[in-house]
Amino acid sequence: MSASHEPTGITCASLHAALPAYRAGVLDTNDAWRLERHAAHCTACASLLDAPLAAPLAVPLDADTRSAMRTYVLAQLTPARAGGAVSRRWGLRAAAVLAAASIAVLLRQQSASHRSPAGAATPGSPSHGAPMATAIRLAESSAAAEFAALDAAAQELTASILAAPNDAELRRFRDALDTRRRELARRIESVPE
Amino acid sequence: MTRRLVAVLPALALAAAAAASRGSAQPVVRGYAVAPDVTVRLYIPAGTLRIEAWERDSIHFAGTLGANAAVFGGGARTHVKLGVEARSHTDSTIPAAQVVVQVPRRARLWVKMIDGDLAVSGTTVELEAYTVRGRVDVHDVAGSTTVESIDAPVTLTDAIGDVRVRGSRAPVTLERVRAALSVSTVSGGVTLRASGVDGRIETVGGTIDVGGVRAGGVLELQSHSGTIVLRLDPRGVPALDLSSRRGTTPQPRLRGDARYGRIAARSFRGDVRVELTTRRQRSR
Repeated sequence: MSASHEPTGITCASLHAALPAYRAGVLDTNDAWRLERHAAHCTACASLLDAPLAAPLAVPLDADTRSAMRTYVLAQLTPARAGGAVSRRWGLRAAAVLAAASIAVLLRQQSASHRSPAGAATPGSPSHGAPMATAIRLAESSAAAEFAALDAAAQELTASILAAPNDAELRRFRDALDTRRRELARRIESVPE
Repeated sequence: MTRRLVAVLPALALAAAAAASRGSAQPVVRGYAVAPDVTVRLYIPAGTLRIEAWERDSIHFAGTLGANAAVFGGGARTHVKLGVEARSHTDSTIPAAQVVVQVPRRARLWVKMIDGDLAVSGTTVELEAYTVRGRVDVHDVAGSTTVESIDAPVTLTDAIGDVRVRGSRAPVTLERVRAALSVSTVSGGVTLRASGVDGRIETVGGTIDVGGVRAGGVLELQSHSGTIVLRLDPRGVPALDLSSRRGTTPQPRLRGDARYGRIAARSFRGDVRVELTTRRQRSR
């Protein structure tokens, strides 16, 4: 997966931008879940999420901040908990991917069995097939620049939040971006509905 | 006579086949007797859709269908669903139609398009409209009005009640709106003119250009990098709470008076400006 968007709206670029905050544990549960959901489909990003703190970060940090973040993260991960959590997480990811693949295969078979030989649409059903694929592509391409703008703004705010973690107003600005991103992703998801 | 028919019939058949293969417009007309508060769902993926509310207890659906388009749907007195779908799954063209629909004024209306121009007028209870691209023009509506788009400019005029607009890249323009308002975009600008509202307007990079707040109302404006412009009547400046982390705010600070309402404007990086203007300038 490169720059394409998950339904969650997370891209590889936005994951890179949010990585310091994810590692520092300052992301809220929803955001952390969205990053992990993206990583479940993207091996490059999965390795970043699980990489040690010494890996290069998207936002340059001074030595004190790095040290504080390292202490924080290590404190959160005792050896037993870390091993268990990581293996559980990978287990869950694998299960989720298998389940999604199975559902996709089932849906595909179901769709093929319902389609008439001539390829005509079933009367009264929503349009699927090639026209809907065009509609989804249209929605995704229309939203691509907006996701990029959201990514850039989020990166800027994440850097500011790392510099001032207790600043409630900065978090409100960031929360607003998250809401916009969720709304946009939901609108794309709702195109075939 | 028979010879003539023999000569003409193949020509007619050929002409009909040619017209069909060109996907010439097919007319469509449907009518339903319904309850005055009928729930209506309309789905026209592309083309144009004009919806007008009328005083009759019926729905009239008329227009022309483009190539690869067919009408589906039906309903009962309380619920009607009508739409346009593709005849063939293999043709990637989004099915299009040019349709005019009349619905009862008190209908609850749900409309969805993908890439087309939508115009709605006269609904008084509930309107929900969704589109990806094209244009949305809503006027003379009351009750609950929701418009969501990704890349369609939205214009909403003469609206009262609750208004909710979710845009992204395209501009949102509101005129003569008396409503509890909730508007958000990503990079699209938001313009509010000659209106009395309270509520919230948010953008990420778009400019917010606002002509005032309802007396006694509260209006919250927020942007990440977009400029916020307040065009206010000097005879009744609302109480102002303006801030920008990295942009500029008016100096000296204007305080205003809460009797005329309250406006809180916050930007992370955009400027916040106040322009004291005449009523005529504000309504322009």
